[in-house]
Amino acid sequence: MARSLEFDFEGRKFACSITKVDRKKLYGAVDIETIDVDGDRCELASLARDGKTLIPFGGTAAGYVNPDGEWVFRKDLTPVNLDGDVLETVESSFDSPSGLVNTVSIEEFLNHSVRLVYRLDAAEEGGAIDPAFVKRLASGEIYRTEFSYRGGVQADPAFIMAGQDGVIWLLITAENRIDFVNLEQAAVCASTVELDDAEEEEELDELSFDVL
Amino acid sequence: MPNINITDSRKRDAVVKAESVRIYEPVQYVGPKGGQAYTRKVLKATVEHDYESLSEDAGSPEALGKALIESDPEVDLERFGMFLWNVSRVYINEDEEIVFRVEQNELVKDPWGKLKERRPRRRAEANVDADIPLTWTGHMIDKHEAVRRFVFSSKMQIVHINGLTYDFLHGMATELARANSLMLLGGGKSGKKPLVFRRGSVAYRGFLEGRVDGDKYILLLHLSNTELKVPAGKRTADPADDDELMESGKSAARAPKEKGAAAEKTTKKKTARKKAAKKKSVKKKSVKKKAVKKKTVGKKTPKKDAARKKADDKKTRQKKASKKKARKKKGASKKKSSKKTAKKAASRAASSTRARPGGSSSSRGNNKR
Repeated sequence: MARSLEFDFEGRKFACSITKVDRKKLYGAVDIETIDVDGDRCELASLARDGKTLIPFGGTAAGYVNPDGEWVFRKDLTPVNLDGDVLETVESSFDSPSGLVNTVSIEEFLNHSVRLVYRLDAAEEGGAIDPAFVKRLASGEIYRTEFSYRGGVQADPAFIMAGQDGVIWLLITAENRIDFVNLEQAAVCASTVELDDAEEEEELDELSFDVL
Repeated sequence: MPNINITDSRKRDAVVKAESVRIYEPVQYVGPKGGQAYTRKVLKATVEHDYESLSEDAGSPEALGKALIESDPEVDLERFGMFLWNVSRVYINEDEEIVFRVEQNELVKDPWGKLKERRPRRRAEANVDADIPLTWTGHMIDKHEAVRRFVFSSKMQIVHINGLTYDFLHGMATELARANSLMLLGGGKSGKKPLVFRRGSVAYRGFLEGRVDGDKYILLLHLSNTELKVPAGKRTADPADDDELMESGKSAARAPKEKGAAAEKTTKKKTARKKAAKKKSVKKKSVKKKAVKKKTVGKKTPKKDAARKKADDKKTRQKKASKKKARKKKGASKKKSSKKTAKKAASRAASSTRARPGGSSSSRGNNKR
């Protein structure tokens, strides 16, 4: 059963069910089948560093250890950024209504890479998404909100917009860093050492033909 | 930062750089004792301790159940829980032995999981930094329309590497900014192939966007391999397939206003193609028939030839025989005639010698011999 998200638009709340849409559902998928010379099917496994321990699929686990090599449970861990500042955690988007306040330009939307696509429908049978909101979407507006499926350290930027066929989409994205570039900001093709003026003058003074 | 060989609207090409624009914000975790906690991969089970091996060792599943209650045959205390690193990926067969020579097939499935095709694994060659530059197709799609039709799952910023390429890219960005559109970028000779950044990697449709602020510019390459649409009820084409990708690229580049007209055009084109295909098939069939006829003639010739040869041989034998007979007859008649002529000549010679003694009779006599 599809989970439902609650939105808050201009003080009015409405719930939407979400349905994930991906390439597999649209076009199908391509699986890789591996066979040996006899035509028998093979499975992927891992070979440990000792060269003899064969680990089947699912035969490994991951966990956290502290600098002393002691096992640490996930619930005891505190998320911090590179500066050591504690990061605030966010709750799941299914736990509370998401505000629909900010609209964004096409360029701002295009600055994001879409990770997940959900189709939004009225949560209840016979129900409807707020008509005023639908009208705004139909006029071409794109709304920005935050989304986190399970809750955690960060919420992802999410956008709601109407598709060509009038379907309403929730797009979970990742933000990108896109800046204007000018002539001086050329990409580095090879390692170059730039000399400052003083060093350059020194180099010129020291220029001699003895080495030739 | 990969190179990208790209063409502008004037068909001038240059190799520039495509930068990743992803923001990487690492999150670290601190344990209760302080200090950063690290993730480690640990061993949980080996192939000698999976269900098949254990039940084989125990003799039966019931015996295995009993053994599990009584002891811990599923745990290797010496090895389980050890940290793993530098682990190699290998293929194992049903006997859980490492396989060194493998072949790989692609199982193409439709959206409902039904197997459509089984083919040898294809690995598309990279084409963004190839000898043939990416083509400026000129297919413009309004930005508002593009974001509602395609899912742009990745993007790269195209940047210059020197003064010359700065002018080149700034010009492109200006042109695209004026059009307020995204332009479809194609690979290959035809300029219709999807973009492949690494051999065997995911193929994407590339859409170029330009923004300009005075001397500064942004040239963004939006990558998409999915359309923003509801899964269809009936079977749809897979854009991962090269040929179909080209077709979808054509349709992707079309404006929605032209959709109706485009649909008509496509139907016309399709009918034209079908007709052409039919003609071709008819031609092919006739050619095939001819070829078959030729082949059949070629196949039948030995028998006929043999019969003909036999007949010919008979004829030739008969001819030879008749010739021989004729020769024999001729020879006999010649002999007879020669005898006659010799007799005549002898009688003449005798008469002549009688008339002119010491003449050329000797020479004539030699000739006769």
